[in-house]
Amino acid sequence: MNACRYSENLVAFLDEELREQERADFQSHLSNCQSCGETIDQQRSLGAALASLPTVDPSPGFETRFWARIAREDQAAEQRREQGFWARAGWRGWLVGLTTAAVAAGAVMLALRSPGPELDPDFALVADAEQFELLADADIELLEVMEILEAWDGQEI
Amino acid sequence: MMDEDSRLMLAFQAGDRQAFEQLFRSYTPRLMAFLLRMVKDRGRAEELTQDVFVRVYQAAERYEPRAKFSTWLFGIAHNLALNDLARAYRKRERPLEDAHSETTADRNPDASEQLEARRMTEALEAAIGELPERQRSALMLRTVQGLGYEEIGTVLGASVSSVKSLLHRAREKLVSQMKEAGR
Ligand SMILES: [Zn+2]
Repeated sequence: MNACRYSENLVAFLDEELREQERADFQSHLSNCQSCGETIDQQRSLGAALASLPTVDPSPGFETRFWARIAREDQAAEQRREQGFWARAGWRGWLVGLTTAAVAAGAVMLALRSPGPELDPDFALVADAEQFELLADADIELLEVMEILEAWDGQEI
Repeated sequence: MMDEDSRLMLAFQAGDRQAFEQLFRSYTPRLMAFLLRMVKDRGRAEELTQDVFVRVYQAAERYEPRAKFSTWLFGIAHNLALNDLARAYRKRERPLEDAHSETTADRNPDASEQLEARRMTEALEAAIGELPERQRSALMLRTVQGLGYEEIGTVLGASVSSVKSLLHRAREKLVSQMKEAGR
């Protein structure tokens, strides 16, 4: 154990993580502190030992298992997209109905008032359906973000 | 300047699945090394390595290269490891102690020098395993992954000066334990 009060900077010095001034100060301290000099040598050999720790290869079948999981992930995402669409089509269906009715009513009024360009009643529905799909996607994203946030948060032991 | 791996991730976001495969292959050994030393169980380390990349896969659409790719990736790995440790702790599972020995067991044990080197590696692995979690994470992120202090701070949610102190304490402890083992 190094009792020198400058030794706090020793590891950061070796890691080249000291600011310029700190580095200069520590270097000049090092030239006349035997304790830090010895510790530097020990830390260097520890560094070498840490750098040569064996790497670990995953067991056979690791990649196959992983790509199978990714395939399941694709499937689940596809299912979520479909379910999300139909769930929203369900509870917002009446909204489509209302909107379409309003648009249609407006179109009828317009048509009655003035002989303007013809309004295709299906047009509104098609546009809405597209928006629903986007909505469903956005909700799935939100769920996933929350899942990831959950993983990122509150895990300090 | 964006790092090369962030660029690969953006390529994957744009639909290039080979870019994802490339990231997966190049980071697997490093993630394994990190996670094995965190959870001390080979099977769980493998599972977690896969979990990290499933998360990466899921998050691809929303990915924005705000930090270096490695910082982001090890942030995910670190959090999953903490989750796993917490779960194991709740279930009072004892981490398997032989997780590291098998990595060195099949070397040629003839020369006594090699035996000695192996003994020291095992002592070092054991000493790392006994470090408090945050010191261990910081040490592994620094020495195995080569992350800078600021990146480690981002991963651990700590200031650069606490990273400095975590690494100082960790390495001081390791040196003193290696001296014991060398006696
Ligand atoms: Zn000193």
